[in-house]
Amino acid sequence: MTFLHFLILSSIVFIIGLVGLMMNRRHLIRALLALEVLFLSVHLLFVSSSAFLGDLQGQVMSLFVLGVGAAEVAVGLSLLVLFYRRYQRTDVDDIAQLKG
Amino acid sequence: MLLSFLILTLFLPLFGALIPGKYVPVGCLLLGTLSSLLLVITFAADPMSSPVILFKWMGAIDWGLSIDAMSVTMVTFISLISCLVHVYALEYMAEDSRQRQFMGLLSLFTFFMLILVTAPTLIQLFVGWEGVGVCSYFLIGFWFEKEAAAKAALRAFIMNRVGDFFFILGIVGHFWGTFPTFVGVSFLLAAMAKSAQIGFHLWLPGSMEGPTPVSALIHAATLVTAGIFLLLKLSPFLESVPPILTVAGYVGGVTALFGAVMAFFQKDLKRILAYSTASQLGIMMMAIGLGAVNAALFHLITHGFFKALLFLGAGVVIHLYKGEQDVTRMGALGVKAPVVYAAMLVGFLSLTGMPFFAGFFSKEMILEIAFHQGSFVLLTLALLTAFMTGLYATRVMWRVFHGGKGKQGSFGKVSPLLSTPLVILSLLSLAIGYIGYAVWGRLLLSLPFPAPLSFSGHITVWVSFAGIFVGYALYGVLPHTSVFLKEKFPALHTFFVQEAYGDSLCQGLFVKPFQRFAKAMAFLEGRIDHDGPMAFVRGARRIHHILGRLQTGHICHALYGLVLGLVALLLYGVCQ
Repeated sequence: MTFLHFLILSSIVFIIGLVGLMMNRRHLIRALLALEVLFLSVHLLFVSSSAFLGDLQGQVMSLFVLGVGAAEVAVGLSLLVLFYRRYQRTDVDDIAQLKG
Repeated sequence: MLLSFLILTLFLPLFGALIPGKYVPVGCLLLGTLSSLLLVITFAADPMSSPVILFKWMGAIDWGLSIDAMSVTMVTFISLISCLVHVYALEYMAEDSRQRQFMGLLSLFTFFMLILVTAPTLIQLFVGWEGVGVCSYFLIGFWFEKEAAAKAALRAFIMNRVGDFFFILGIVGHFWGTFPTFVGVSFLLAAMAKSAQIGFHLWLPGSMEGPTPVSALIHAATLVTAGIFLLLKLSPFLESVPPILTVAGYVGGVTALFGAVMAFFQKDLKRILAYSTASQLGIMMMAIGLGAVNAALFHLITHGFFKALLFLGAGVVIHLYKGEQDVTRMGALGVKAPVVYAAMLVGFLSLTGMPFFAGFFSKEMILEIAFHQGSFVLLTLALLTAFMTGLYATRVMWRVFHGGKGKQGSFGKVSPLLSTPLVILSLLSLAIGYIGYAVWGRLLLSLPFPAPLSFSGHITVWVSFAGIFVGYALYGVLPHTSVFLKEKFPALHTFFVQEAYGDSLCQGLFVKPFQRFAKAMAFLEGRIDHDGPMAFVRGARRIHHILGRLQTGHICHALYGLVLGLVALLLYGVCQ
């Protein structure tokens, strides 16, 4: 169990999240879940590096950021609700109003 | 003390122009005139001449006030005339709905004129020069509902722009200090345009479309003398380039005679006075050409007073005739309006240079200098001008105030607001010659010839008197002669009545070719626009259409881009 293992693990989780976000063409909730995975993979890296470096500040910081992350999820979900109320759908492909 | 009086005189008119109201400008001008009188008294007690620099602009150009005999004289003269014209305009423009605007513009004009005459540098002089030009444009076109007025304003402005262009050339040349002849020619052309010398004279009669107070203040006493003032100011420089002075002398002489002849053939009262002004400006220009700077300034001042008087008198006459300006339709006004008659008589006697009137001193002085310098061509031109001046003065006086056929009907009383400036100006026209010669000449100017009554038995007076006599003979005694001459030489008569075909010449030589040129340029400009900048615009639009498709708005596409960019950056970092 070296730091490299954690690095690889968090990278794999990150890539899973990223690919999930990119491949997802169906549902907005899936996109939110993929985002959460991305977010947590970074946390994993942060906490593990804090543990290996023996500096508790990183873990404390991670806790704070988790709090912010919860707020972000709340915002995402409320956007989802609004989107559903407006279009009666939650397909990601329908969100394309920002085209040039 | 001196400086504070000068600053008060200078900025009160500006204050009057900025505060809307009918009486504010008049009040400001009255105070300003008072202050200018105090200024001249203070200056006379302790003459000094030094420019006061108030502040620097861009580290190089001085802004300030020059205090010397010439600027103090001019400031007092301009304030005084402007004040009287303001009072006159109170009544004259009373029926106009935009009177307040009119008064404000008059005040603004006065301010710029004062800036012009107190400028210590050419740049500041140019600011005043442009300022009076634009005020003149507004005031000539004050009744812009009339097409003729709008056109005349535009013409005056454009002709003055030609002069302004040469002024700029002159400033640049003067700054570099090379090509003195070129600089001299530039300044001479600038002065010719502003002072309506021959070739540039057309705008002055046209400017008579403006209200009469404007003609009195701007196109007789002040603005048109700006060109003369410029040359006076530059006289030390001009003396180093004698050919320019010679040219200026001949231009002045020819303009003087031309103006006087044209004045004789005009029918419109104000146009007669306009040509007369051009003629007198020619006399001043001639004096400059002769190197008689003080005499030119002296004539500028006396002419300012009596010509303003003539214009204000003409304004009253036009008012009495309810807008009629054609002298051939007037007559026998002398008995009905004695005040105006007396004022106009004083003005014309002064203009013709009869003894003891203002014009006598200055005109005689200039002719005397011409005589002493032996420039007999100029002397002849000036004497012919004096003769013609007597002739047209008599013609106007006879047509307007004597003569048989006048409009019938009752004439109203002349309001005191109109007659007071007339009386004051009449008194000044009587007195300014003595004042200028005896008091102020000694104190401030050191006029070159102590005795003006020495020149060949007053030949000027005799010649002018001959003009008056011939005029009286033509109109008073033998009224059929002029008709006979008119029928005998119709072509000549048309030539003079058409003002030497100046308008047609100007149209044919400059206006029409320029319009054609402008049309061609407009076509060319269209092509250039289409193939130049607009081609870029079209290309940019096309590229925008192509590139715009890349942005689909889908989140996944944006993410592809993001990840690809990230990978490219990482690869770049690794390869490094």
